[in-house]
Amino acid sequence: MIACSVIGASHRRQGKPCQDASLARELRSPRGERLLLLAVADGHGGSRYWLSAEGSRLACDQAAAAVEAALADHDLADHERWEQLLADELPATIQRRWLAAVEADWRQRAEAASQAFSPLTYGSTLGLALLGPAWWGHTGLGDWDLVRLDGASTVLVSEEAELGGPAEATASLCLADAARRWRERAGLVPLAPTTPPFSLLLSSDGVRKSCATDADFLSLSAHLAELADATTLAEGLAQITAAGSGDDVSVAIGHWGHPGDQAIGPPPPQPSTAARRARLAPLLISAAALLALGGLVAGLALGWESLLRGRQAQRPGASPSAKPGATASLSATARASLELESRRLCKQPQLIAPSLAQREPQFRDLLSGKLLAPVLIAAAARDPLGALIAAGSQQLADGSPESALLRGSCVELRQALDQQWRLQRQASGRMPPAPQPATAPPSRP
Amino acid sequence: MPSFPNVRLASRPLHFIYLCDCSGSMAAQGKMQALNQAIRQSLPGMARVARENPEARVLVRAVRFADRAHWHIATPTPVEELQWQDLQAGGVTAMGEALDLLAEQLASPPMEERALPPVLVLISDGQPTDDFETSLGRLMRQPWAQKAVRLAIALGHDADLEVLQQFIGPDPSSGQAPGTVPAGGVPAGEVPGASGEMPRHAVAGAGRSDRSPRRPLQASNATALAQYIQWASTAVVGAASMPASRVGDGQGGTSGAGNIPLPDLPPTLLDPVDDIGPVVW
Repeated sequence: MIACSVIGASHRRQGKPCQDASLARELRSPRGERLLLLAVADGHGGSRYWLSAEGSRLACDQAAAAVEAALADHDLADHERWEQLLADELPATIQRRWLAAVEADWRQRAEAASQAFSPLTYGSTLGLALLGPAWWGHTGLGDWDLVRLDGASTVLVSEEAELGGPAEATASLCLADAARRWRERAGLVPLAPTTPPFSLLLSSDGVRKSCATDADFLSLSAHLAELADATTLAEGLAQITAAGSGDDVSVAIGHWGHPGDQAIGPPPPQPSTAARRARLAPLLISAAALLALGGLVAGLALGWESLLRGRQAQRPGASPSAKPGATASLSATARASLELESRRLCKQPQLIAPSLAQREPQFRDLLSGKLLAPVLIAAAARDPLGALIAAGSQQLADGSPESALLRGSCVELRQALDQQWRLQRQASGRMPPAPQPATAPPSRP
Repeated sequence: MPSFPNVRLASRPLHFIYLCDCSGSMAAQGKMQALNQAIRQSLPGMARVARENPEARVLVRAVRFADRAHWHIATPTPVEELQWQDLQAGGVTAMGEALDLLAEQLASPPMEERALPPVLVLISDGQPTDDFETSLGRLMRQPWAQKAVRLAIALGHDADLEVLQQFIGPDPSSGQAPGTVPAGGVPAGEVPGASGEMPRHAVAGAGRSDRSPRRPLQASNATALAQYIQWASTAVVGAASMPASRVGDGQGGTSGAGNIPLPDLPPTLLDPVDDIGPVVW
């Protein structure tokens, strides 16, 4: 992640300060959840907004504080809650905090003795983009732009609607009804672990206005998203304002699913408590075996193992020794997610094999019993491909609703899953040579 | 230094368009000659302002109107390349048709997505002889016409100030209905004739509260005309070249009147009804 603001070429010539501000910051909740926050703010710059450089800086600061507080109070996994936060509660909180901050700034100034405070003096836009492990979102108001880039496409996902009337008009934090206007720019997009890596680029209007057309702006965004250090980005932005609009320019860039410490990505699969116990069992047994040298604890350890095995046996398909034929209940949400993922892959069959190849650990852990098929299927909304893989697992019965659903999918998906299961079984030594196609079941691994 | 292949970075076009009355009455008392001379003499100053603001590409066009309206300079021409061809007077005043020509060019396209607010300067000594109001309505439906800085210069005392005020737009501070002209002059230091923002000193409280800067500039002689043309082509172009963003209320208005903050008129032009030099028109 990276953010940078550069003074506009015309502002530099006129001796004006940079009235843009920006930030890219990683926030962490007390629970250890990571959230990337991108922000750009553009002070209005006209003579009546003469403290807008302060206004934009305070806008970014207060936004970061407000999002951090929300992160402490709300689980990132609760998408619906964060959607509400982006549309309603964060705007109100940031608006309130910004007003308090600019008024406090005003009170410290000599002009406060002779002039009444007006938030207009500090007028600024504010755009925010948030990148979490399982969703990304945006909110704000004003003429900022948000572009989403992945290997396949570059899309302008949020821009200010035409306000009508005079030129260069934009919504602003200093408007009396500002908080209401955030809703128009708010949105949340859920992510799956299968989502290809992508980047978000948030920019102030000076960047887009420096490009001849929107197509040029999208091309420029793609170039900027590849810049990795602040110095190069600052040089690029200086070049943009000099050859373009002359306005202050800001960008904030965040990455999802890319390699590297600063990018954020999908959460690791969360196995159930039973699965964690199952995974710990061999360790416990080993530890107990060591202790058993003393002769006293071995019996207890074996008892614990038996207890675990007994519990797993009560859960369908919960261990490598679980017999085929176990079933799992399939919720409507999980079914919908499975069907959606199946349709998505069947529409793009070229994606099937590479997607499955990336899931080798899931195949392996399902085979070994470290992962439980019902657990993955229950988490289908968050990891639909993982659930699809689990649906083909031998932990489930042939007649289970999941396997029936899989049998209804396209032949490309079924064959690719069969192939992947065969490879994994061969690798793990759990499978005899692959059966001839003529005798192989049509859809079961 | 990073490179951005296949990206066209570009300065923003600033369209400056004259709408010149070439009716027969303009031939009287040297008005046509004064207008040609004023525009020609303003070009070096305009080119200088353009050079000082490289982020704006100043492009000039002109419409002439008499019995019919025509593009006098049809191609948006960089000011440094402009060679002014004299206008000729003769005919009636097809001002509405001139607005129709303008409206066609202020549609998007051909207007560029990222253009700066255009500057439109209407210069007339009389009254329209066609359906001005219908044409003005058509023009003002174009978003770029709404965003434009609209100026009007009245030559002599026969000019229809109400029509010119309609072109500029209603003066919110006058408390009068659109299309009406408040009586009296403009207080010293205020900016008359511009659909622009209240000048700084006026905001600070100078001047009379019942006066407005958004009114036609009245040129009573060649000197005044030259100074108004010079002001529009330099100070206004300079201001329009580096517009600051401003607060929009989402209802098509802003928290301050006008499209861009405009500079003050030169000191000799503080009051548009003052006579500067001998009255000849």
